[in-house]
Amino acid sequence: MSDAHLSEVVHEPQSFIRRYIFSQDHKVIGLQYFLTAVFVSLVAGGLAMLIRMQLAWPTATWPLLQKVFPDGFSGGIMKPEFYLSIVTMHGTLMVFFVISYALLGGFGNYLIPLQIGARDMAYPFLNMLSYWVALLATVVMLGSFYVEGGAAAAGWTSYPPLSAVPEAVPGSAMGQTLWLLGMALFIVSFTMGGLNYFVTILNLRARGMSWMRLPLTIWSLFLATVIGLLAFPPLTAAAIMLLMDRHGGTSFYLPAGLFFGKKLLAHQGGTPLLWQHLFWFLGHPEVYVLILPPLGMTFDVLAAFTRKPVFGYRMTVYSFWTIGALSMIVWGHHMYVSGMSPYIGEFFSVGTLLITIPSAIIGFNLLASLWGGSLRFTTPMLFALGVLALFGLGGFGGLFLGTPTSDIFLHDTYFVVGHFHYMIGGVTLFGMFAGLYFWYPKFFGRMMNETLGKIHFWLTFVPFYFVFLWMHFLGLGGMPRRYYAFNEYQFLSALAGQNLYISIAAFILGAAQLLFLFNFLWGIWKGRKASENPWEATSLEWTAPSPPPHGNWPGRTPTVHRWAYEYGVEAGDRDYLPQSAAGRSASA
Amino acid sequence: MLDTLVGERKLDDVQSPSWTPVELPAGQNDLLAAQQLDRASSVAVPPAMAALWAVLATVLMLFAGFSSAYLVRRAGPDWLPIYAPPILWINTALLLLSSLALEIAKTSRKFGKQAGFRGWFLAGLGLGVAFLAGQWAAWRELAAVGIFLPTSPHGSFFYMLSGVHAVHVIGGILALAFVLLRRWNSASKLNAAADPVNLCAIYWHFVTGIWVYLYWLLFVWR
Repeated sequence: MSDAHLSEVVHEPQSFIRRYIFSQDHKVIGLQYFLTAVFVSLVAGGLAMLIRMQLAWPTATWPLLQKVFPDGFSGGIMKPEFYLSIVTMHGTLMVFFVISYALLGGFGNYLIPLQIGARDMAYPFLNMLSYWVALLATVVMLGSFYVEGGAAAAGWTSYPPLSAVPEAVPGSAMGQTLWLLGMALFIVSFTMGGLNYFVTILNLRARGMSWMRLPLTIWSLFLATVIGLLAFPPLTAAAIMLLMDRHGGTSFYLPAGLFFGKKLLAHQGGTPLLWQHLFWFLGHPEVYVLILPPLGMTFDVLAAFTRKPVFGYRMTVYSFWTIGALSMIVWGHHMYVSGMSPYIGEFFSVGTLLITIPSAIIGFNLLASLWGGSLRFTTPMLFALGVLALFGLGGFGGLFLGTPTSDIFLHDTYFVVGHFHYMIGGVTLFGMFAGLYFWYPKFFGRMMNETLGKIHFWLTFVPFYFVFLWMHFLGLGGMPRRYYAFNEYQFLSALAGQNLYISIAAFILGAAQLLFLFNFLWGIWKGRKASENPWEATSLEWTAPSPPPHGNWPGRTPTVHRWAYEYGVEAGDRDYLPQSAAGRSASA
Repeated sequence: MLDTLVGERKLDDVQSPSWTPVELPAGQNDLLAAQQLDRASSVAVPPAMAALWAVLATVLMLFAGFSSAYLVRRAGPDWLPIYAPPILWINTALLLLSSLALEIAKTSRKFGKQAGFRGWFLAGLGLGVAFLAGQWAAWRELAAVGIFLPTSPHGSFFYMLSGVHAVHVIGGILALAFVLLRRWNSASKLNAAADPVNLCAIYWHFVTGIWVYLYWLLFVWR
């Protein structure tokens, strides 16, 4: 095989359909995931704007919106059931169909083979299948808006009895069933993709790419995959049982004595707590599945723009492992107020607070990676710095929520909303942007516009901080979440009006993303052509052409001789050495 | 630390893999072939085996989730177990025999008895289908005495768990049929850890084990 060239062993597909639609190339599949994520983010972001409009002006009438959503408005005012649907679908779409698709489906698919030095994933056909099932899941989810009763309205957490009794709210009819089917398809797609990533990273690393030479992006994707594969099945089990309660007459989650209006429901013996345990058994590891990849990617971006190795690579790897393991045993911290024994609460609390240790190590390593560096403030660097800022501050909120005594007050308030938006909305979103701006030249062979990028950063960062930091204070003041209006509560009379300012900031935040979209598309057509390695980075994907061809490297796949962060070394006229640079000493 | 866990050797040596390369039948994905020849890191676990273990871990977690639901529900005050349809004993025996048949098939192949291999392999597949038929008969028997999906919580769990298990058996049957049709007969060149017949057998034994566990959970431990 030593001298065999790519063209001899790799048959590149010829037809348009096989190259760009039903493609088995990990790069095309990755971009397909991105495209889907961007489309869904427009929907889910639009839903967020609707939420903020309602909260800013709860008494206003919206005749135009009533024309668009005739069932959601009455007399021009948003119906509470519709608000619940919007909140539910905003959360569901964002968590699973935007962030997971973009980070794991998009970056995972595109970067894993390139960064480990492989030509493609271990199972390209399975990879293609995973995308098309993912697309089907998306269609089912989005289609749920159009069925009778509208989309599911039980929260992204889908708690019974609201989700188990079809007549409970309009969204609990067909919409909830489609939600469950969409989630089932999503889990199937995730499992297929996860298997691929697991086997690929385990087995298809290039010659010389040992585990401790992997970039942190790969480590984070690997552990996110492992956590996801182990954590999703109980949600599958839970979803099957919920479908049976809804359509099979069983009583897994429904206790005796439930009334709907004047009608006594026939169920008996079930408990909604069962759903909560099963859901959060996935739900908590899921947020680590979402947050590990952006943290890993941030390390890679930081290294390239500080021109020095990441600080504490080994400890970061161990911290990723520890977070992964601990994340599987702390799900009860979402359920402190469910009536569980305080001793069990203590167990979950101890685990939750223990997670702060590896998280703090990662945060410290991110910060220390900056120390003494030669900083280049490019757009990806700005977003990476944003990740630090959001991870640091948002993480503190977790301390209060992880302690039962304070959580009793803070549970189901805006404190929670502020906290998780910092982490899932902030760290993941900024990580995504950092990654997109950083790897854009590799994906498309062009550079994005730096000025527009910087404006996009500031117009995202400042409003984001404003919106979600303020929510922490609203929560401390006792403002509950998932309420469609606050103007009628006396105890909130001082706080309710603040929603207006938050909404205005949120509108700026939303509008700023259009800048990004424009820049993204502009770059593809009008961007400056990118070289192979415009950021002078060390990992293997930067030794492939921009964009890489089918099979990734025209000649042999690279052989790895060093770790992924050989920055700040004297190597001729360069200050870095790529992983594939030969020789034992630093100087080339 | 991890380097030793996955059995890697010194990185700078030109090395051959520590396991025999899989000879892929014609028509396999060329890119996969290129990869498997291209990389040279020696790993202890070939791709297919790693994928299988990941699948088994996922399926195990699924049944773990169901089991925890069962344990929670069983603690309720209105728990009245249903009887076990006697045919389930036969079904369990059929499934165990099918696992045995697959193992005999593998032994036949090892000794070069191609006809024996195919015969026992087919027997294993057939016994799996018979198991499914028996499960369907058990469902019919319960329905005949008035125990349907929502009738009793114990019954609900039986229907659900046996149904989900049956879906996994169907998956196993499809895999066995696929192996049979692709005529993966010759074992001599294939490393056991990459051999499709062996991998299917491991999955099948796992599914058998899950059934034995479910039967125990539902009707022995109650």
